[in-house]
Amino acid sequence: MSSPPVPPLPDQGKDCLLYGYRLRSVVPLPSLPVMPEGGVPDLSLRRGRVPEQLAGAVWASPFVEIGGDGSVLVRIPGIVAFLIRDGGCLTLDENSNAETSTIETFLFSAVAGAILHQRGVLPLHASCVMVGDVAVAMAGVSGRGKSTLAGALSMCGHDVVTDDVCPVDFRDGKAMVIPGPPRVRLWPDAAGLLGLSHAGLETGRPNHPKRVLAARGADVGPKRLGAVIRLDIDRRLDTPVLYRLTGPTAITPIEELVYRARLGRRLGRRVGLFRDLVRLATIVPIYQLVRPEEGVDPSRLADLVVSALCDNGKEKAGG
Amino acid sequence: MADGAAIGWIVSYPKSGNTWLRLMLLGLIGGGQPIDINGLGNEVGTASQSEFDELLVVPSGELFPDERIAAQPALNRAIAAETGEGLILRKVHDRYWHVPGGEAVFPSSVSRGAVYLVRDPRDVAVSFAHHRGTTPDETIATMADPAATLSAAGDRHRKHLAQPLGTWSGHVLSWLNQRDIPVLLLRYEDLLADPAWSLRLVADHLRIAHDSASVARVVDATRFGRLQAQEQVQGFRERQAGSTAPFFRQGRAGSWRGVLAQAQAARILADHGPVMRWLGYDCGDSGTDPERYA
Repeated sequence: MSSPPVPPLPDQGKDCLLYGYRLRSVVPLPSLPVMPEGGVPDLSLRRGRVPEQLAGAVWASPFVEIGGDGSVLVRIPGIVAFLIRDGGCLTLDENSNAETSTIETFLFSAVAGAILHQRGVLPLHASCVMVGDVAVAMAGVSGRGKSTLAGALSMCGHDVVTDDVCPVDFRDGKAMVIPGPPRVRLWPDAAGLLGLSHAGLETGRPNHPKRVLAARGADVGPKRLGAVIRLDIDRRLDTPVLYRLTGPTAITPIEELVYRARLGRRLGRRVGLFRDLVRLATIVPIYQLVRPEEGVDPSRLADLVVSALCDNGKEKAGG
Repeated sequence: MADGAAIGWIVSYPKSGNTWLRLMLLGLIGGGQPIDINGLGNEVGTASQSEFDELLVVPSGELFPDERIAAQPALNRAIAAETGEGLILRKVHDRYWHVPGGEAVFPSSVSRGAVYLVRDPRDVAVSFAHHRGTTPDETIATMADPAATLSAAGDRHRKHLAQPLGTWSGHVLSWLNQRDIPVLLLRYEDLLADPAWSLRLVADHLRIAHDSASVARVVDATRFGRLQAQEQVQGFRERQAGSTAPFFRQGRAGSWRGVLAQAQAARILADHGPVMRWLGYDCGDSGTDPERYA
């Protein structure tokens, strides 16, 4: 991963692993693996003063502001706020009374996106599972069924590598996925499709209808990315189809592949993201899985995902 | 309205010709080139959750409905900011509404104008019932429900953000009575009867360049029969699952007469008669002073 700045360290707190980084946090984050003591943290999370607004913000939305120095403020008004600086120094608003599950919900989504873009790491917008000894990333914008498919594959025995935010690191000519929390976020209807009892699943934000499937995760080491499968929906179809993408269509539009691509561009990653995707496409086969809007058994889609890996293996063996 | 504002809102109650008009306008913006009905991109759609996530960064799916709603004006401003100096058309099925903080969901500062496309609610009832795969009675009840909402929380079609419709009459009046965005009222029946005249009217309102040749080409390319033929061959991405008819079904005015029972037509008249009369729809009686409902 790119060179981490040295963050100011909290006086106390345990180290845990967040998307491959050693995070020293004063806030309990029970969904993350605990790291052995003694290492130097890459990231720190402490409580402190977080401004209402960033002075001299170069971009602002109701929830997120970007400062002139590249810092990012993520604020859910009245609930929780984070300030993310230098790709590693995280401050949680000292006035926030948010529950741990709420802190984790936004730490593992928008905040993680800001950290990864600040550090120059490619975050695919994808959920990822292990198929054999490689990882398969299922990519697409929200509503395409990434988490449902990851849940279906998990229930078929595949370890979950990450859900929604999928950091990719390039090492020795390979694309490696850095595992995230193996928590799959499901809407009630998606839980029902998987045959899971909505009431039996953990909640994310208290009283929110989305639920968390605490799946069996892969071990914490980077996983070689074996395929990217872009998910799409076409109401005209009666049955799902899977096909290989080549050329520019494999990596465009960038917003459908990269987690919060516009945020990344605003943090100086315009060229870097494009370069990383081109690199990705030269290393990893990219497929499109298009399904009808309704009436498809998730296990049928899961079979198609697994078949992509098998076909890829055959191509390699044949070629 | 701001000078050079980016967004042209194409507004209608569902199944009132919104897609047809947008295809025409896209054809005009493209200089009258052939139309691909499946070429309608996100840029002309209703606000989606994925757009919310990408433009406002936080995941909309992790927010509560009131948090999402409060951010909708900002989402529309962000859409305009992405568009820059050009014009973007946005399909709207929402009634004109404000978030609880008082801000309009469709900010006038980014609005070039709105076109309100209205259709005889008796034809809407028939077409909407086919579209949703429900009965006319259910649709007639929806059209009289002040709380009616498309893509409501818990709805299986939650790709889009919740779109409050209100009653059919309330929908019409909400847009025509607002004074924030210049609105052009266009009847579907007039679009059908004289598409060239209607298209010129709309293009002038939204300041879309046109000439008689490009208008003629677009009108020819978007004749209902051509769109139906395309749907028959290629299908149409916007056709809803469970729909009982093609999306481009008939493209006719007054076809309700052979479909709705007398009691169903009477119910619509009882629910919406004043606004129907104001819009000039034949209610089997004399007209009513429009000023009463303005």
